[in-house]
Amino acid sequence: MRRQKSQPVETVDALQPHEEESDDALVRRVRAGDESAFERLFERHRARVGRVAARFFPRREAVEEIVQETFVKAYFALDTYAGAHAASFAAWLSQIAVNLCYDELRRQRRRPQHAETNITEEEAQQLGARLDRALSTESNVESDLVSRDLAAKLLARLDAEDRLVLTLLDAEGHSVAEIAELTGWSQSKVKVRAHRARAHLRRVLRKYL
Amino acid sequence: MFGKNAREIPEEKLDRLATEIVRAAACRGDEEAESVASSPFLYTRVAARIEERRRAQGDEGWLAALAVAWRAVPAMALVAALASALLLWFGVSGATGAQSQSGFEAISDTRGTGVVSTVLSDTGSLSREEVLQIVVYRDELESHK
Repeated sequence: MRRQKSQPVETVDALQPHEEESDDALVRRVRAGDESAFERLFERHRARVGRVAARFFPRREAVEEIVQETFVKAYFALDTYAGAHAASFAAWLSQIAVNLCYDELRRQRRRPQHAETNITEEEAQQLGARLDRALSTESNVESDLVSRDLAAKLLARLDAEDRLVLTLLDAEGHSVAEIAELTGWSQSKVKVRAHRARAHLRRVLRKYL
Repeated sequence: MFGKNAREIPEEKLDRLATEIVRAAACRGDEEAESVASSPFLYTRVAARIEERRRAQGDEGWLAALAVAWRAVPAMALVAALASALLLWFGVSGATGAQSQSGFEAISDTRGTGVVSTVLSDTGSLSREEVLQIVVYRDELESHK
């Protein structure tokens, strides 16, 4: 792996020892042709990218795929990353990861096996029992877990955009402004999307309760 | 089967259940992320993918040039066909023009003693050899009779 631009790297190395180097300094070194700097960026951020991907996809292979593709895209887009930009390198990388997750969600919706995620009557009963507990007590609903498989099947009924917004809002705990920055959408679009997504999920739940 | 209690469920409760579902779908996220992060050959695979894509981009340059050339083939064929048609057209009309300008050509015979006999002969008419052949053939026929 070698970057095409080749400028002297020693000056940056001399100024900043590896341990204290910021992301922006590492990006500059990668741009100058130092591949080891990209490996350091990878080591520094892969867990974060993995966390983003794992919010959307339960399978390890899917998460790995998103992680790899995020860094590959980042590598080829490094020239478009401006260090002085409002977004940090981590936020910039998260944007790439979120967009890749969105693309993958859309692809999954189009696949024929997507229709196979039928919810059995047993699973619907589990959901109903869960809701009964929530209705009878004022206990913390979120402390009891709906099975992940069932949750995944229910979310699979949502559009990719709906699922993206709900996951970023409820699972990641991002604000509307943060989601707007991550997705590149306007804040009003994020709000409208979130409202629609909640209404859609309510309809899905009503169907199975 | 499903949906029997749906109308009595308040929206607020459904929203709480929905939130729980979204979180449940993402609950093992950190574990997954950690296990992916600990994969020892992940960067090697990323590096290999970068190299592969770079090579593909290099190949794309050639492919793009080939694609341009391929797209130019019909245009070039059309130009060639037009050029051939024009060449044929002007070649034929030029030849007929030249013929019509001088419908007769001068046949010079310098075999005579200082006398140049010039015979104007139509180019569409028979040549001297052909006339001779006909005469000889006619004489032979008569002698047979």
